[in-house]
Amino acid sequence: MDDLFLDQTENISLCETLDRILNKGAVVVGDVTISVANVDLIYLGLQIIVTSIKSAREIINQTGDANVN
Amino acid sequence: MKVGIPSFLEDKSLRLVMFGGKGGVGKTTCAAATAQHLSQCYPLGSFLLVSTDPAHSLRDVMAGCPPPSNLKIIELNTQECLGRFMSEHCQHLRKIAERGTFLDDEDINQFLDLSLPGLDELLAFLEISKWVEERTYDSIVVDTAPTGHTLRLLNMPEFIQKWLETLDAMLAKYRYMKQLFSGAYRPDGLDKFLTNLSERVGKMAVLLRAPDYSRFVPVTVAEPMSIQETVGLILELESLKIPVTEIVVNQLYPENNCPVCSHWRAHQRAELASMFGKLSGYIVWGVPLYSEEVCHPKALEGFWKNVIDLNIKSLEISVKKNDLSIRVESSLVPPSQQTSLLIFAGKGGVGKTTLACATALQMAQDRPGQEVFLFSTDPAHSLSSCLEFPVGPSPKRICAGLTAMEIDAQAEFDSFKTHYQEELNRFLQSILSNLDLKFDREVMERIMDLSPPGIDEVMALTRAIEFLAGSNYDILILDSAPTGHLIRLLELPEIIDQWLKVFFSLFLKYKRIFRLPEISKQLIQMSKDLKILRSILLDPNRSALYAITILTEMAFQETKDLIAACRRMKINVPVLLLNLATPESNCPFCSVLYRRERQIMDKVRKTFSGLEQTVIYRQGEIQGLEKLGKLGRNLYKTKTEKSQNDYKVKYEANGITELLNGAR
Repeated sequence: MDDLFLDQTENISLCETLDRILNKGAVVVGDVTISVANVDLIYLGLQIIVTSIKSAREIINQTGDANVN
Repeated sequence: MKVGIPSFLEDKSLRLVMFGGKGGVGKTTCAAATAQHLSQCYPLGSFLLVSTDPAHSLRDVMAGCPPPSNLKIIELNTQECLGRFMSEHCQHLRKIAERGTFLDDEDINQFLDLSLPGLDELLAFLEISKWVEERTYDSIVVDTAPTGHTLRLLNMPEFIQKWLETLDAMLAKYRYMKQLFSGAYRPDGLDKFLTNLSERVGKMAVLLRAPDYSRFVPVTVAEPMSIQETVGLILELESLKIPVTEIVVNQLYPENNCPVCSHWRAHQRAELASMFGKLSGYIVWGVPLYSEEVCHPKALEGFWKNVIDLNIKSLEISVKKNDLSIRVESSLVPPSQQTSLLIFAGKGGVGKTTLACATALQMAQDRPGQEVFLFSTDPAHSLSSCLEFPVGPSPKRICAGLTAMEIDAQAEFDSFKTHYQEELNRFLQSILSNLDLKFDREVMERIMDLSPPGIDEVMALTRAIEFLAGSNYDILILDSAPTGHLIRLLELPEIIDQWLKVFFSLFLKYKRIFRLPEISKQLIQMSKDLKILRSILLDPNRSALYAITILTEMAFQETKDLIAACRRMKINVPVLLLNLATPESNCPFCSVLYRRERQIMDKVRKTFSGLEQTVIYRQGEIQGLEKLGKLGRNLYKTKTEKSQNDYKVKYEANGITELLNGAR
């Protein structure tokens, strides 16, 4: 078992993760209420798409290249 | 009893005829005989006889002779089917994983290269559904694997649908973003791949349930354990809405006045009456026990000739039913003191469970102070019926020194999955308190559904090792699944190792972001237990595999495969048990059986001369602790072995009497 812990040569750093998420895109849904002195003031219903411009462009002009078969 | 013709031999509209049941009841013979009959009756039609049983006994039943020209015989080779499936669809799977997960190419490749245990039923199902769709054959006769795995084959539609839903969830995010960015989404190659497969599976599911196109014919022999399993199978088939109209009861003893035959006939009648009590509305066909083994095209032709229509009225039960004595040719040297793992292996229906239980009882009594743990991974759960003692998925005390357990592999895996999902939700909650990762959460939750069907047997095996690794049991006796699946179970440790390595590399790689402590702890424990199992399995004086065979040509072939596989995997096979031998007697029918079995016995003795062998003669149904204990005492020399002569068995001209059986 220990041999597996030794060769932890490569693990993902935080910025690499961010890069991966941007490259693949992520959709975050959330609802946030902003309150002051626990009086709810503002409600935010969020639907956030996070992606890099490069991937967005790729998606746009991907007409159907995924016809792999 | 009027002679009749079963409908599956005549109904030309049938496109799928499946024969299933407990191991060793003659499924392969029934399937081969039906396929040959159909192809001869309809020379213009084209027929296929396929076996999904990894133990492959089809080639033995045809004894190598060429089938009729319009009948094709295929023994599904899982690796080949898997290779074809992967080469065709590997690109699709890679693309789907790229779009749907945060894994990089290297991770995905690692997963795609993993060898997948237990795919027989999945690939068999896909192959058959392809032939059905392409209508290459007018009708397909299927010889299925023993009961437990047949049910898995019939549950494949649901399994594959769940599998496809997970893959579909992986594409959902991409479709959503494509819709958003370019205003429209047209299904591409990947969607087509998923829809084609799900259509094919859907069509197959419909065909399986269409009474005029497909038929499942349960085969059984008139013995309690086989009937109990068959009744269970039929109830399960009813819940799956699979059409069952006829049942075949094989190997019925003929009408004659020999005491042995009449004993067995009466015994079979009583069992059949109990079956009729539980099932109604089925036509039951009785096939006689043939003295010559049916493993040749000529014999197959005659198989269905004298089928009789059994019904409750025809079964006059004769009251007299004396129990045959337990007779073992020569008792064995008991396993050595350091043996900690004893595996009972053999073809279905050779008596593995009975001999495993008898051995466990004997070891428990003969070695006071030692704890024996008897368990079974056979999905058909035969331990409880054999012991006549309710054995569940958790350890149950049977008697002094003996604990038994029947591992429910599916339940084990389901509980592992729920733990994973709970921990995943806790993890996601912790990092995104009031936000939710749409799409990706669903993919992560469902990822476990992509694991191959055989993975639950992996779970069952590692669950068993916990008891082996723990110190409170001295010897573990495994009543294993029938041969085909046992060989794969023994090969599993390497496959599990591969899987664990991939999982660990992923956990390490994403350690900083993706923390699932409990699941990784469980996997580490599994990997440790696995190392213990492999070390014991490959150590001849700590583990032994007792091979069991009956005296038929097909069982002999399969035993040769089993022992060759064990030698290849360096597993110690010290003992070979020849079970259910017909005792010598002057009844013409029995003596034909006896002579044929003697030939097989000589062949076995010559081929496996290095193994300690003994012959166990056919006796009444051995069920319940009392009878099993008696069998155990006869089977093994006890430490205080009295001289052999206190067992005297004498056959008189007109009957069998048990003069003196050493009362223990």
